[in-house]
Order: sequence, then structure tokens, then C-alpha cells
Amino acid sequence: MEAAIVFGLVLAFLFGGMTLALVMGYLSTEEARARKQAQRPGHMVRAAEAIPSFFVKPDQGALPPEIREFDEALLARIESHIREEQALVSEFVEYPSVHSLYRQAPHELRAH
Amino acid sequence: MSPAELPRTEQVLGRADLFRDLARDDVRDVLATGRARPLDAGRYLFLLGDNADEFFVVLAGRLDLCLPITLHGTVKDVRVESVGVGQALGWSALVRPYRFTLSARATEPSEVIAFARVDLQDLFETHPAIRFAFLTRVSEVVGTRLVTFQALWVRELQRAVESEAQRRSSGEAAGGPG
Repeated sequence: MEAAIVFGLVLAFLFGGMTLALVMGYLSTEEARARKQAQRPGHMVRAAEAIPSFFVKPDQGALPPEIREFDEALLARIESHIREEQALVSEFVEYPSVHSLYRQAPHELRAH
Repeated sequence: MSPAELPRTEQVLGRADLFRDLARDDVRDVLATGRARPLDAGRYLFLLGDNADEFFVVLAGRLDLCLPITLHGTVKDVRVESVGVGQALGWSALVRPYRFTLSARATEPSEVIAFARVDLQDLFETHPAIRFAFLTRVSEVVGTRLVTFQALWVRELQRAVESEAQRRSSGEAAGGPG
């Protein structure tokens, strides 16, 4: 009889210990997961949302027409220059070499 | 993307560079995570500095990738690249800090497929082969952009060096000996 009680107590102790170990393990896994979740980029992005976007909508109405025309012409020249330059460097992208890097542009972009 | 939209998208994008190394079923799995988004001409898809949560592939039309430049105190967009059907844009959605580094604007009525980063990550977890093939192609897009801008930058630097050397030599010639 006493042996059965002792055996029961041992069993209860073992079962209790295993349950406790499982609960502790689960809790520590959850804590680790929560820590990992906090370090995920989504949280960084949310924190970065406060940073204002770089883009600003241009206020065309405030400028005199001649300056707007000048700006538009300059913008067109810059875009044309970038297109020409990209066409020239496309060979460098495929076959990098000093020669393909410094191919001469037909038109240079000059500010004066 | 709805099952009804899939065949058309598959037909258009199945041969796109991004999906080149993927099996047909894998292409279908990737496209199933996407959402079609129409864009009117002149409409911005994203702006420089925005949070980048989605990666895009052009299904129809054409978009310009632009950088802002300040002229007389106002900011204007300068086109630096143009992307058409089957081409990808918005790789910033897959690379930290997940913010767009250019703005994208539709130059004509267009349509893109948007892939949310979280959906792609879920798909990659269960399909490592798709992850490898997809990210290899995305790396090529990023690499091409990097090398292009590196070459453009070093050419401008070379011009600045030559211009400075020319300015100095003409200054010395004007000053004369002694």
C-alpha cells in the first residue's frame, strides 16, 4: 500500500515536472519569436513611416512662362543626355572594359 | 490574381526574363500571388522615398523610372529609365530598407502585376526552387542598374577631371611664364 502511494507520488512528481518543462519551453519559444518579430523589417518600415517622402509636387503656377520654357528645354536636354549616355554604357554593362566605359558621347551636356 | 485572369497574364509574362528559369507550374504559383493594377497615363505607381512593400512586373503599357531634380526651386522628375511589358520594377520591395529609390510614372495607359513582399516570402518558404530562380533574376535587374549607374557616374567624374585639367592648363597659358 505504502509502495503504491510512493509510486503515485513519484509519478505525480514526474508528470508535474514534465508539464512544467513543457510550459517553460513553450513560453521561452514564444518570447524568442516575439523578439524576432520585433526585429523584422516590417517594424523598421513602420518606424520609418515618419520620414517624409522626398518627392515634392512642382508648383508650376508660381514661375513666369519664360523660366518654365527654359526649365522644360533644360529638362529635355538632360533626359536626352541620359538616354545617350545609357546607350553608350549599355555595352559596358554587357562587356565591361575601359574602352566600353569611355566611349565618346556625340553631344556633351553643357550648362553654358 | 483571379483564376480567370491567369491565362492572359501567363501568356504575356510567361516568357518574361523574370520567369525564364521557372517551370510552368511555378510561374503559375508566382502569378497567383499577384494582383493586377491598372494605371492611367501620367499616374505615379510609387514615389521616391515611399515604403516599398510591393514588387511589380509590367503587364501592359510603359512606365518611366524618374529621379527628382530641382530647377528654380521646384522639383521636376527626370526620366532615367523606361520599362515595358514583361520588365520588372520596384526591387526595393525585396531589399532593405524597403523604400523606393526612384519614382515610377505611367507614360501611357498601363497595367502592372503587384506582388506583395509578404506573399512572395510565404511562397519562397515553401518553394525554395522558386526563391532561387526568382531572386537570381531580381539580382540581375539590381546588378544591371548598379553597373549602369556606376558607369554613368564614373564618366561624369572623368569629364570633371578633364574639364578641371583643361581649365588649369588654359589658366597657366593665359598667365604666361614667370
